[in-house]
This record gives sequence, C-alpha cells and structure tokens, in this order.
Amino acid sequence: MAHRERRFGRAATALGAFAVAALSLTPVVYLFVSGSSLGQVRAELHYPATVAAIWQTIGLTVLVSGITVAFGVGGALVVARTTVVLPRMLTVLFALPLAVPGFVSAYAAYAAQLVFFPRSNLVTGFVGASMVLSLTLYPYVFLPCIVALRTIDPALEEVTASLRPQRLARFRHVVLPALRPAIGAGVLIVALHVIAEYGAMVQLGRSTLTTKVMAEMLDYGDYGTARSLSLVLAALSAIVLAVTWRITATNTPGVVSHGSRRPARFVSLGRWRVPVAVASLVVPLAAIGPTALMTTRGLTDPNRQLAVDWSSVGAAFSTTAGYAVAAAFVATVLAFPVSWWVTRRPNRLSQITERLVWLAHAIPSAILALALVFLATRAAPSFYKTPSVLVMAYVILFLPLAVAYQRVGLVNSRQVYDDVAASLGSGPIRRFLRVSFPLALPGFAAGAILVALDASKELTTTLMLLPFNANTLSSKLWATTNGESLDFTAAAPYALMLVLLGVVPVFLLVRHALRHVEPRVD
Amino acid sequence: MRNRIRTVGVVLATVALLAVTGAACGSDGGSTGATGSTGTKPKATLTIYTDQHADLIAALTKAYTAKTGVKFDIQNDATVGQIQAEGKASKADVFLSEDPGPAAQLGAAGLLSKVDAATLKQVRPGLSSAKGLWVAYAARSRVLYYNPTIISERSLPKTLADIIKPVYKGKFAWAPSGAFVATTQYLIETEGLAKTKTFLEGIKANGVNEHKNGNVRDTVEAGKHAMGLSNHYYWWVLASQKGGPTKLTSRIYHFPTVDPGNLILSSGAGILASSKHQAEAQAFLAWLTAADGGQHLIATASADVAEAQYPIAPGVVSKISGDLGDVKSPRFDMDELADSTQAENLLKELGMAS
Repeated sequence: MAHRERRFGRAATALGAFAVAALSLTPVVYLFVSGSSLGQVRAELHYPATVAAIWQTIGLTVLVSGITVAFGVGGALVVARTTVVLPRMLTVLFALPLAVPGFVSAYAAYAAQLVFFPRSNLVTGFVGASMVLSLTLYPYVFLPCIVALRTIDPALEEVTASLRPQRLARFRHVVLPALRPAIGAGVLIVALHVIAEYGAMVQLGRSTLTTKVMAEMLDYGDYGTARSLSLVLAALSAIVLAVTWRITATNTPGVVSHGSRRPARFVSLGRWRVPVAVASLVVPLAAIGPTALMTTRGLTDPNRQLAVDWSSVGAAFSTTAGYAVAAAFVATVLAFPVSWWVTRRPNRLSQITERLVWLAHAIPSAILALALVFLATRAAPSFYKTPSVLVMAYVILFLPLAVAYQRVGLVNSRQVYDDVAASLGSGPIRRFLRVSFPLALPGFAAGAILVALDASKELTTTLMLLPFNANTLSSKLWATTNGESLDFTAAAPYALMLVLLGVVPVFLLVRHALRHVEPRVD
Repeated sequence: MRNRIRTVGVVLATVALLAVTGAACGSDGGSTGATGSTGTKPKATLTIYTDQHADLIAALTKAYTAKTGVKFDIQNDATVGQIQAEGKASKADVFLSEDPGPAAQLGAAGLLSKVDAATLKQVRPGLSSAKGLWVAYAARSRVLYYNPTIISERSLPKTLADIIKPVYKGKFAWAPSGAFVATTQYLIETEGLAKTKTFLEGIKANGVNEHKNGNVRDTVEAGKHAMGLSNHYYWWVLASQKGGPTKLTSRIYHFPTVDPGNLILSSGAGILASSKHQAEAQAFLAWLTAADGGQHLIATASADVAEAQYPIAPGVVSKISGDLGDVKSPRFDMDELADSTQAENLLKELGMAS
C-alpha cells in the first residue's frame, strides 16, 4: 500500500514538474512557431557588429559574474565569519541594492556622471558599466553565501586545519567547496540577468545581443530578425546553465560531528574591526548612492514645478504590490514539484527538467511578452489584458528564483528526517506538513520574496501586458523618461516608492539571513 | 518556527489586503473618467494603442472624453509587433504613433482603413500618408544642438552634409535612434546608397555615438561635445525642467536652408481595419487634427505634457517651439519608412546600428 502510494506520489511530482517546465518553455516554442530561422541568424552574423555584440555579451557576463562573486563572497565572509563591528547592519546594507531596479541604478549612475564628471566615460565604458551592473546584482550571490557559510560543520575545518596547517587550506578545501552551490545559484541568476538586460545596457552605452534584439523591434520593426537573434540568446543561456551546473554539482558538505551544531569559527580582526567595516561599506554605498542622491536631488529641485499626484502614486504602489504578491504565490506553488523532484530524486531527468525552467529567464522579456500576447489572444482571449496574463508572465520569468531557493530549503530539510518520521508511522502528507515543509520553510519564503521583489521591478513585460489604463510603479517611472533619459525630477516620487516597496521584501530576506549572523567579540 | 510562520502570514495578508484595495482604487483612478457625458445612450469605448509620450495621450483623450463622453482604453508603449501577435483578437481601434515608421508599417501591412478625406485636409500638406492611410497629428524635427561656450553659432555647419568635414572631427554627438534611421532611409531614397554610405562613414569617423537622443542633449549641455544631432523637443523638455530656455547653456540650431538636417517626422494616427468602431474612430481623428480640437491642446500644453511637439494644423503654433512652417525640411513620402531595410542593412554594415 505504502509502496504504491509512494510510486503514485513520485509519478504525480514528475508529471507536475514536466507541466511546469513546458509552461516555462512556451516563449522558446513561440520563437519557432512564429517564424525564426538559422538563415537569418547567419545573415546577422555576417555583420561584424553582431559578432562584436555577442563577444560584448559574453565579456560582460563573465566580468559581472566575477565581480559579483568577489563582492558577494567577500561580503558574506566579512559579515558571517569575522569579528567585524555591527555585522547585522552591514548585512542589511549589503542586501539593500536588491530593492532598486537595475535600469533605475543605471540611469542614476549615468545622471550622476553627467552632474559630477560631465566629460568622462566613467560608467559608460566596458569596465565602468560592468561595475554598475555588478553593484546591482551581487546580492544574489551574497544572500545564499551567508546561509551556506553557516551550514559548514566547524569540525570539518578543524580536521583540515590539523592535516594542513597552511592558512588558505581551510578556505580552499572546506569553505569554498561548501560555498559552491550558493555561488553556482547566484552566478546563474546574475549571468542570466546580464544576458537579458536591456534598459541599463542602453543607458550604459553597451551594445549586447539583447539591445540588438530590441533595436530590431523598436528601430527597424523587424520582428523576424529579432526572434532569430533570440535563438542565439537562448543558446548563450544554455551555455550558462551548463557551466553553472558544473559549479553547483558537488558533494554535499560532510558532517563530522554529531548532535547539535557548534558556532562556526571566526577570524579575529582585532583592531581592524572598525576599519574593515568602513572599507566594506564602500560596496553598498556605491550601489545605492547614485540612486539615493539623484532621487533626493529630484525631490528637492528648486525649479521643480510639478505637483506630485500622490493618489496616482499610491494607486500604482498598490497595483504593483498586488501583482507581485500574486506572482509570488503562484510561482511558489508551481515551483514546488520541480524543486521537490530534483532534491528528492536527483537523476538526469529531474535535473534537466529543473534546468529547462531557467531557459525562459534568459530570453529578452519583450519576446516573452510577445509570446504571451500570441498565446493569450488565441487560447484564452477573455483573459488577455487582465492581470492574470501579466501575473503568469511574472511567474514564467521568475519561477527559477522560487525553484532555486526552494531547493536550498529542501536540502536543509534532509530526507533522513522524513525517513525517521516514516519509520515512526507518520503518513506522507502529515510528514510533509510536520517535518519537511517546516524545515524547508525559510527557503520557500526566500524564493517567494525574491519573486515578488523582481516582479515589482519588472518593466518590459509589464508595459505590454498591463491591463488597459492600469499602472505599476515601474510603468509610471518609465512614462517620465520619454523613452530616453530618466528625469529624476518627475520620476523621483515613483523611484522613492519603488525603493520603499522593495525594502520590505529585502528586510524579510535579510531577517532570514540575519539568523546566521550574530555580533561577536574578539 | 511557529512565530516565523505567523509573521510571514501576517505580512502576506497585509500586503494582499493593500493590493486588493489598491487594485480597486487603481481601476477608478486609471480610467479616463466620463465627467462630461450627458448623452442618453452609452458611448463606445475606443481602444488606443500608442507609443507616444503617455502624458500627451492622457491629456488628449481626457479632453475628448470631457467633450463627447467617449471613453478610452489605452495601451502605452505599443508596438506593431504586439498588434501582429494579437492577430484577429486585437482590440486596438486607433494607433497613435510617435514616429511615422510604425504608422507606415501598419499601413503597408494592410491593417489600416483609410482616414476621412476631410480629416486629411485639416493638416498641413506633406505630413500625412500620401495614400491616406494615416493622418499626422503632431510632428518633430531633426535639429543640431550646440554649446556656445565651445563653438560659436557662425562656426556651425551650414548643411548637415558639412558635418563630416575635417574641422568638425570629434566635435559632435549622434545617436542611432529611430529618427536617425529615418534620416538614413530618406538619404538613401533621395541621394542614393553610395552617397549615403560616404556620409555615414563621415559621421562615424567625426562623431561620437552617445546611443540615445536624450544623452546627446545632456552631453552637449554638459559640455562634453560642442554639437549634437538630435530631435528638437528633447531640448525644450530639459529647458522646462530647468525653469526656461535661458537656464540652459546649450542652444538649438536649425540649418538655414531646406536640409535633411531639419527633417520633419510626423506622429501618425491610423484606424485599424479590424476596429468595430470605425465611425467613432474617424470622429476622434477629426477632432485630434482640428485647429480648435487636439491641435489647440498640443499648441498650448506645457512641455511635460506635449513635449513641445509641433501642432500640424495650418495656423496653429506651439507656444513653446513655435511654428512648424519655419522648419525648412525637405518634403518626402513618409510611407516609405514602412520598410527601412536598406537603412538597417547599411547601418549594420557600417557598425552604426544600436
């Protein structure tokens, strides 16, 4: 009986996961259905600028991934593994850039450059642009690393230390391997963001494959070429998925000690406790500084003639929050079969299914939106231009975030505990509700929060699928740009609300991470 | 653990509640209210797809609703691609483009029905579709910005073609925007591929690509470049933000004779052939292009609403940017912009595409 039940459960999970993966792949399928061709891709590759854009995309992806790992891992080590002063406050500040949409920080960095260094190319060069992008993206590496650092068994480090007394051996042989899954998940999110980014890239003067795809649509009205170039983007993303799979694929860190876990070992900073804190403050301040500065300047501009219509700001605020919460809820439910299957039955099939979910994340969101327009007007015309299609778009876009964080949660809630409960006669549903789920809850919550956060910042898909006459904070913010430069005088109230709205989920996320950070004395 | 679940629950419930109440406010606040509606039978709702400045479309539709009671559903940042993806299910009745390209493209795809002849007659000649598929309702022109602290007005090029001369090397900014593509397509049609190619090579060698028209404006204003090729209204928008034209360092320059550097590009209004509200849509376009209707609003609205775009009815003059009749632009058939493949290919070949 129990055996048959289990087999049924497994089949249902697998079927559910397949269905979710199929849903995620709809935009990719659309690329083929509505016409794209390798011939067109070849024709585009004939232009040196297209090839240059591919290299530019790869270069930015690699450099930004590298910088975000440095900032993310470095920041996590400082707050979670040293005796630095005020580690909790540092953690909050390090996570804060998550609250600011990427295109807003890029516009702010550009505007600040014009104000303070008008003749320089500080943020519009390759390295400068990479830096601006990295500063908005590193929290995706930072947060999982904090959690991962905490799960390392200190006994393992002691064993290594006794065998290899060199200073770095402990880091190389214990800490780094334990961080690999967190780094892999973080880099995946970062790299796919870089590949699909549009608004920030244009403002920072970068010509990437995504900006090419968007130019085909917006400047030339050439949708066929846009779809064909998106195939190249999908291929690039497949490479990223494979590479990060290699980073992530590692044995779960061993556990040497038994019983309850001891606190981790800390690096004692001595009189460097304050200087290190000050030095690491540079990262979050550089990340949020330009946005905070330009927003404040905008709100206090003496020439400001516009009266802020706070009721429309408020309406956009609650519409944004509503869509974001709905997306988080649906994504959490849909991600579950995928994350459960891949953690409990990590075989080739479940792993490939999990990777497929990510593919949609790397396609320019304008293409994804067109795919949903195409599908919704044919399959469910009465839902088109209602919030449900937009929420579905958010779910497809950000489902991978939910899957990734649920996986982390489910790994923490080990199968053994479930088995122990089973041996004591507990049924599967009861076991899930009493054992697995509560233990995995932090991961589920973090995933849902990240989905809500990214949904509330999303722009491109929102513009196309938003119900008639409705507005989100991003769409209102965008409306002040005249499609060109963000005018921080008119945009400031929306930027402010968007950041305030983002601070709530960031606070919730950090609260979860903060349990792994406590102040220490030397 | 239970505490944490409860906290998460409370937060979710609060946000959900906010969202529900907000969605309710959102739908009241968002729709263009029918304050002036006095008619007995319910008026049609027109669905507008537009990529124009959202505030301008909001102001125009609101004024029309107040006058006639006709309400609007508005899709901002619309593209031809969206209408094509929607296919037969498209709800669009009217497309209001910012540049002529999308209107021309819809016309060429056979998706537009003809605009009433009387409406077309309300507009200055040469600005609308020659086939009558769409009507101009606003216009912008290409201009040169310059920074007088770096270059004097009399040293500026007398025609656009002169900007590729060696004296201007490294002196100006440009951006591969839609309007730049349109200029390129115009040059190919009128001067041929070879001459256009030489000109573009000169632009690439002499100028600096600042990627966006807005950036061209901002970098010239900041003194990074002496001159910049852009559209007229960006400058007026910045001027109004800073408290008037005198607050800006940079200036606007129109080439002194009829010149491609002054090219006028229309914003076009077209009626979708699939629309079930043909008569209502025609009536809206007639009002939009009338001197005492939409044109009056465009002429008198502040820069943050109408962006200093030119009204296109004869005799109607923008209180900010002046008379479109003073802009010395060559005339051309903007329906040719439906297909800018030649410009696209040339710009790509030269590595000048965005």
